Amino acid sequence: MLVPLALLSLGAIFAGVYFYDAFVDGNNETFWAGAIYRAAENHVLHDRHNVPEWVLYAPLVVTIAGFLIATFTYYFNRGVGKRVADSGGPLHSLFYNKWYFDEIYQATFVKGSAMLGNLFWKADKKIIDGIGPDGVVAVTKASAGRLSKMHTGYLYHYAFVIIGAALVFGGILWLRAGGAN
Amino acid sequence: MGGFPILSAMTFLPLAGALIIMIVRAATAGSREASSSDTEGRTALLAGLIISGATFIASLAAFAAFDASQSGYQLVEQYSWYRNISYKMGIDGLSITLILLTTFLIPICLLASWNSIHKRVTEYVVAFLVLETFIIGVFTAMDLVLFYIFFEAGLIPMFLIIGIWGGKDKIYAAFKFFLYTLIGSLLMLVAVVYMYQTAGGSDFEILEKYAFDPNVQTWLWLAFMASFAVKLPMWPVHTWLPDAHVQAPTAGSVLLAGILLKMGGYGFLRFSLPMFPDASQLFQPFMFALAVIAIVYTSLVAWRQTDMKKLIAYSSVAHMGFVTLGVFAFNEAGVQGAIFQMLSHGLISGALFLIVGVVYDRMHTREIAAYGGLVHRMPVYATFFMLFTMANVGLPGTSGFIGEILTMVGGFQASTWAAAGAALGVIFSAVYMLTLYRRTVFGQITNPELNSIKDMNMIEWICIAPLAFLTILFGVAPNLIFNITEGSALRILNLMAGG
Repeated sequence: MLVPLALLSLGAIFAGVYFYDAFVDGNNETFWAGAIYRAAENHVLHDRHNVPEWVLYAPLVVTIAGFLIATFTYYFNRGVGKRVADSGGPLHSLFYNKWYFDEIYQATFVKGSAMLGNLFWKADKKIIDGIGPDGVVAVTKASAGRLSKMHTGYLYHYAFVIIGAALVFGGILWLRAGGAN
Repeated sequence: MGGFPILSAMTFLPLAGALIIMIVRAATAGSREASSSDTEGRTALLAGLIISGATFIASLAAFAAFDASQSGYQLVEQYSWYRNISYKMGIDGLSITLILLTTFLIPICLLASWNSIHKRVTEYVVAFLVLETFIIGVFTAMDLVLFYIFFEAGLIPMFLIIGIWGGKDKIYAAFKFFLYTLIGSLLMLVAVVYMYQTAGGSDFEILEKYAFDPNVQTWLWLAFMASFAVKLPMWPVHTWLPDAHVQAPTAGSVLLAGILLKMGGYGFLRFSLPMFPDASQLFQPFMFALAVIAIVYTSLVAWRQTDMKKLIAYSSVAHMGFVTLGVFAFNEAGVQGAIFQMLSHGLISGALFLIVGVVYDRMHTREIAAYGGLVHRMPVYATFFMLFTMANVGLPGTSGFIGEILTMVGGFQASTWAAAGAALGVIFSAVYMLTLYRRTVFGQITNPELNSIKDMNMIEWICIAPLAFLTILFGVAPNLIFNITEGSALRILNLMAGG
């Protein structure tokens, strides 16, 4: 493992020395040969030369600071890291839990989608089926139940319905024919 | 015209086979007591396999005679029937693709029933063969009345397959399936009658050239849509599908998802776009909205399911949403993508129902919670399951990817928002399919009954391996299909543009 790591470290440290011109400056346009398109009005590659000097040095400073802190914590003062972790401060918790991204995703996207899924599933059963096929069947069944109660078997009930229907039907015809006019 | 009527032969071969099986059964009724009902069932299944195999060969012969460079109807057969209604058959790239899918899946359905169907096996085989005739008839008919007859007749055998060989709530599911589809189709019948009266015939080629009044088109389009939306199915008329799938036997589910749903997409492409172009344009935003709702809504519902079949059924509704999106994009990418998606979904969803059937036959439960750790006992099964899971998610290299990406490209050209909404479905499909796979296949075995479960047998291999092969083949070489369907897709778009 030491040899691959050493090789990778060399590449990580020195690759820029050899490839900077080919990839970034100098003859980079020859290297990319249009593989990465840049619009004529886009001057981002030129503009990066005009950033404040502290921006250029910031990555180097942060890297060195990180290196020094790590060396101090894990090489010269072993146990400091554990003590910081055990103190359980909010900063440690925030980083330990990866900025709580997983928990935020879980609470919003995952639980939200699950809630919607359950809601839609209930909508399928209660609303779509309830109004649709199940509802139609229920209404038909209830109507049939009520209508069947009219089948009493008494002749005068049937005669009443026949006469009533004849009166309604006759009334409609009479009105259509012009009524009293 | 002229020559051997290959389309009629292909269409009615299964029906003739079904009749022969029934006649032989009636003729041997006396001697049947001597042989066991199991032997009789096996013989019927074998006969069904031979007949459906011969039908597949006939469809390959029709395909061999089909010239993909031509865009119009081919191998046309026409016989006068009644007045301007004729028995007219023909195929184009769209129909031959779906015919091949049908004739390919039916023998697989029958073979998959070899060990799982034990009662009334002869009638079961007959129902499948009769249904095959009606489905092929739907895709070969070139007369609207003839199409309608085949379209409606197919309801009966499917109703019986669910109602007789289904699960615990089979009667509820069968009636729900029947009522939904029948109500939609009755509205279509009214439109069919009107079109026949107005255009002076029911020949597709007459109707395609007849310019219906734009106001009338709206009503005709809605009437046809009522039928095709139920068949596809589209939200919110989709609720018959999960029940039908859960209750149907495995082969019935394969047939439902693999072929019957495609009749809806076929109908939109065959009738709505070329015959009612103005109305189709008018309703494009409406159809996009329904497609996106179907994709997102049913994907989320699929994720919450505890029954494997129900999950795949809801996933089918979502995947057919991509078909709607592609069809109503009104561009080549969309229409080609929709046709491809229908074919791809036929293979993938058919395979997924077979995959569920494999463990259901052993455990007699479809509850996801009853499984877990299957990979330890069924490595081959886990491999096939993973392939179709990935294909259903739309992984590049599988046919699922081609269908989804093309319908989205087509949809994007027509509406950025619709394509963006559909893209959500791709994410959700990964959520519910990977969840299903993890919960059933990975992890430790917690159900002691799974300790003795056996891996796939030879019959299951024969059923599932060809589907896996085609899923990858069409994913790697989609031009095999596009070369067949391109002419039809362009012709439909040309007719829509008034050409």
